[in-house]
Amino acid sequence: MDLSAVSKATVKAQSSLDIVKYSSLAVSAVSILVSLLILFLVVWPKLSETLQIKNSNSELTQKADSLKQKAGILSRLDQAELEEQVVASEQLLPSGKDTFLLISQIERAAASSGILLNRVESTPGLLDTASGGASGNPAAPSAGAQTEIAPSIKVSVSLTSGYSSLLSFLNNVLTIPRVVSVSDLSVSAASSEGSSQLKASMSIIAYFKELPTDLGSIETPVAELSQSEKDRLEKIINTGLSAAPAVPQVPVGREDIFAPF
Amino acid sequence: MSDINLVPHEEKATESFESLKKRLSVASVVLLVLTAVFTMGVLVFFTTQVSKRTQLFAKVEESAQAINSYRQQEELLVVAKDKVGLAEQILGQRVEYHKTFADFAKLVPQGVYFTDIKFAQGKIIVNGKAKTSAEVAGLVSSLLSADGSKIVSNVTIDSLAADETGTYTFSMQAQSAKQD
Repeated sequence: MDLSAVSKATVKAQSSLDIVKYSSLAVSAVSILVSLLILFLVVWPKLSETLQIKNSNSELTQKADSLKQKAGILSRLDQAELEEQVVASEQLLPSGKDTFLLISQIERAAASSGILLNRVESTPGLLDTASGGASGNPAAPSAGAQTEIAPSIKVSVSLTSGYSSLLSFLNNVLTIPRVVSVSDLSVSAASSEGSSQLKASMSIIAYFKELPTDLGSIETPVAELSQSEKDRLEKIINTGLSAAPAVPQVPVGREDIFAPF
Repeated sequence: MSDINLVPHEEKATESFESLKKRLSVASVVLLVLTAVFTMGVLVFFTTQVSKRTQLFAKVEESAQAINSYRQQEELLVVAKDKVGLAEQILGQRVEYHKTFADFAKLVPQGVYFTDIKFAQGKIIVNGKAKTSAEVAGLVSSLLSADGSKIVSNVTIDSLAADETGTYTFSMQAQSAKQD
């Protein structure tokens, strides 16, 4: 009797029994594997994508809110009032140097104060600020801390007056619609023994600022005018925009341009 | 007395295998359920976020259109704000000399007058005359008082001299409380 054949058959039967036995575990194992594959290959990337969308949504929410706020601010503005305010702000801080207008305003302040202007001196330089005049004359060198703020022109003034007229002139100069400041003020009595007449010299610095060239992006927030800014513009508007200061017109045309007047 | 193992070795192995099989089945079912729940959750979350994004885009678009329709107002506001903001800054820093003189007038003794005064780069240089030395002392004391320190600080007397009439001539300098 061939016992090796029996032994082979037994081993074969045993291995097929093992396959059947372990194959019953395969369903669970495959299901776990599939679950893990779904989790790592599908769900996890989707979750990351969703979290990114969530982040971008929070940025979008902020953007939408700020745009809505901006639209709200703009919708409340009155265009006619704004136009008046722009005209007033142009008087406050003109876009150009307006040297002659400034000199005529100083002359008017002097006339209304009862002082005698001995000398008015300025070096306006290039008059066309749009072509680089502003940067060519950035500020008066003696204007201290204010030189950095905005481009300016300087007018040096010497005068003779009484004390109260001088105070009146200083007040009148600072109340012209345009933003000016006074520096390097020097006052002395007309005679060494003291006198009611005073000699004074000063630099009057007038500022200007060119118009902004662009609005920036739509997301740039707009700032409303503060109450003090509104009040300042209101003050200029109330003085009468139609009576805006201007250099007086003069007749033109001469037969002999060298003949003294 | 030691236990007699009555369970055959084969049967014990089968029992342990069955237990493993059972645990694996439970684990697979639990994992499947969790995967399903998690997937559904992520799907709902994703759908919500996408829908929210669509709504936000619509909101942004709507606001952008509104802003564009107010472009003229925005231009006017930007110009006015730009100019008046800067003007306020300059006006806040400038020295109002007529007020400085008025403040000085309250502090100067009656027996003192100034012959000249010069304001330059934050300094005030004053020359003047006084009837007596007490008047000069009164001036210095006024300038050093609380009211005086609102106008000047670091008061220095550079010279003080009396002539044959007893009139004192003085020269002093101080730091201006507000720079010009």
